[in-house]
Amino acid sequence: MKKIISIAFASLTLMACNKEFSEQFNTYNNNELNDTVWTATKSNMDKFADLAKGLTPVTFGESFDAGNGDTINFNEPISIEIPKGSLVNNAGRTQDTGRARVELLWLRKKGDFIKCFKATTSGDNILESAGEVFVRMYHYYSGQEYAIHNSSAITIKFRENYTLKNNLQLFQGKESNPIAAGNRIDTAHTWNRCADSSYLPTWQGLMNGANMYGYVIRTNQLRWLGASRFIEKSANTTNLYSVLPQNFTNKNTLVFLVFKNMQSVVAMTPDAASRCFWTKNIPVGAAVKLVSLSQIGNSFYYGEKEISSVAKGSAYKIEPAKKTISEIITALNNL
Amino acid sequence: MQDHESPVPVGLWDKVNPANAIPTGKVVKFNALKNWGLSTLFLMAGLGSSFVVADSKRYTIGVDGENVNKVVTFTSSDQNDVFTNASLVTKTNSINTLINIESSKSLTPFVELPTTQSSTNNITVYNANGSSNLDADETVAKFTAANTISFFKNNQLTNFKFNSKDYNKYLNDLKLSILCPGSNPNTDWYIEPFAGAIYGFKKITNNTATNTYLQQKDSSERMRIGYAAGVNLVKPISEHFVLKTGVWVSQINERFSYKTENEIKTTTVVTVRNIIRAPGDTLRISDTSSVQQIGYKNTIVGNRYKTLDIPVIIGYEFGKGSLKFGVNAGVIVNVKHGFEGAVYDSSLTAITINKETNNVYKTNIGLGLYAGFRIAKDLNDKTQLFVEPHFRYNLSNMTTPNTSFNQKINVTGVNVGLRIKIKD
Repeated sequence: MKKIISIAFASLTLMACNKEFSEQFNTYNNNELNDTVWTATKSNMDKFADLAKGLTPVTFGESFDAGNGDTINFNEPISIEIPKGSLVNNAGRTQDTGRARVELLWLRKKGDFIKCFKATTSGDNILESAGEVFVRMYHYYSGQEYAIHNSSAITIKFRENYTLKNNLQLFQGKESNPIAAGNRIDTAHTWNRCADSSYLPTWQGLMNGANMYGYVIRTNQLRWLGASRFIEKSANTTNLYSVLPQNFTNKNTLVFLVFKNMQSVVAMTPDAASRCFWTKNIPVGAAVKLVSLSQIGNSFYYGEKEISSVAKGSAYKIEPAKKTISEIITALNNL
Repeated sequence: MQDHESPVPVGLWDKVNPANAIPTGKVVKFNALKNWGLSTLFLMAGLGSSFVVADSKRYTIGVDGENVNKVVTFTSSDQNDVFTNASLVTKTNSINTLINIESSKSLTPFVELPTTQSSTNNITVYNANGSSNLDADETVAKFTAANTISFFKNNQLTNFKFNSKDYNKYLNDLKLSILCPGSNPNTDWYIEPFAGAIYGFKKITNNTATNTYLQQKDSSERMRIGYAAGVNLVKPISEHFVLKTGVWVSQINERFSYKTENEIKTTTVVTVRNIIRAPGDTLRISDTSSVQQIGYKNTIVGNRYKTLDIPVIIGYEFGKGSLKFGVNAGVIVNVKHGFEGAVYDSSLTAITINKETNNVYKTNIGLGLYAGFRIAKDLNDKTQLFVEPHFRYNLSNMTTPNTSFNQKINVTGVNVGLRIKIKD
């Protein structure tokens, strides 16, 4: 009997002391945050559409008489001169009447290059760029794209924010074919030096009422144009690797290497096998900054890793944090 | 007979306290119902103060208040009449009266005033087979007042009999009762430590809550087994009735489960990466970082409703041999009520509350009604093991007036405990 009583009281005590608390966490299926697997194939850039749309810099636009051409000074220190009779429609005929519109996107700083996901590289070679311009012209009403007549040339003048360089060349952006539509990031984009490898002329004078200096691009090509030069080949270069937390994969993250002392941006290549991003031909000892941009679901992440002196064969860790688009833009503007 | 010397056991009279005489000529008969009512009245009046032990079992045979120390002989053909028919006592003189009850048939018990106790009200009743021969079954009885006979058991005797009639059952009733101060004290008391499992039945009515809220609450809450424990102080007040009070604590358990969406779970992981820089040149990176996962979380919280109560219980007990039964009923006065756990707020977000942040549940839930059925078994002379299924009905809501719903929890359960004699 005593045993029964003892067991009963012990059971009651246990029952009373048993704090009932538990948490069971169940992950959502098909949620991007839970996908930590790297893809061995090319990433789907459509996933970055919101990020790309949010980061795209302001595009300048102005209409003009297609037959007469025009010289347009935008509110920023950049201008474009469109000679009379220089526009050709898609039938190959000169457009000598009607209204046309020019749109121009000017990437001046390292942050701008990243905002448009346009690294300053030509193949495996790193470029130093004074600016990149995207220009297109089209029929004002129909939207039909124009080209520039072979015998004609448009002239783009823009300001150099830093030291004027005398050995810049014209590079043309090579886009994927077909051209990435909408806000899709063009991962195939690269810069090819134009056949005319002469140095770009510089200019100095008044623009928008202010005395400044810069470069002149004269070309009959439209779309992506760059005023750049190859950086000096260093005898001592290295591969550089960056790793990120597991949530950040090549499906949702892009990593750029930004040189601290020159206008150069390198898009790092994802490697699914080692789950890292990497690039090559980085001068040992260079001061660089690694920048990561991620879009996971509807959330955006930004990460930075400053490297004062690149060590040979080293890997650096970036720890992105959740940010708003405006916070990311601010961070990119300060690169 | 006047010279008869009572063979009173040594120390017997030391155990007997003089009683207040009941007015001569009056016939007072306590039946069970009156005992219950009177005792309840006394209990209510004296709750929280002291209880007074007194004698309870009285059988009136009638007194006419004549001469002192006079031998009165009664003849009855049925010894049982002594306790039920006052007319059998045809002559008694005073409280100090020797009464000899004789049967014209069979055995002849008698009642005798001990000469050595002539100044007292005590009269000894012997169940003697003859005038002075006590046998092993004989029992000493006592007149505690001139018109009252109280029976108690001689410590040295095991049975209580007049002739073949067994009055052992009266002995228990003699031991504990509650009467006014000054009455003949009966010093028997019991305590009942107990513990048991309980289960609550929740009743919810709407106040200002939305239907969605009530549905969500209903689907999130499930009652669980709780516990009760306490100690009762027990006083028998008649042959069958007992009065109880004490201190009870209880904890009603409830399982509160809820689901939260878009929960982020962060886990620290060590990631090892092998980066092949060149054939034969592998960079091994061991990286400790956190990984986040998104999902929903099912949380289970144990809600606890705790009470501290003082019961006032009347019990009716019966049974034969060592197995006893009882029915208990009464009122439970809540002293303190507390809640710890989680509830939904108005936005259906689960919030944790404790005694500092609780503004949903009252700190005192008022009165409750109690009913229980008791099964007991004697373990020895002083200890009884009992099991008591019971039900508690709370009269008022446990929620505060500002709460969007009204909630009441009625409780059923089974207590197991011991009744231990602490004084006799």
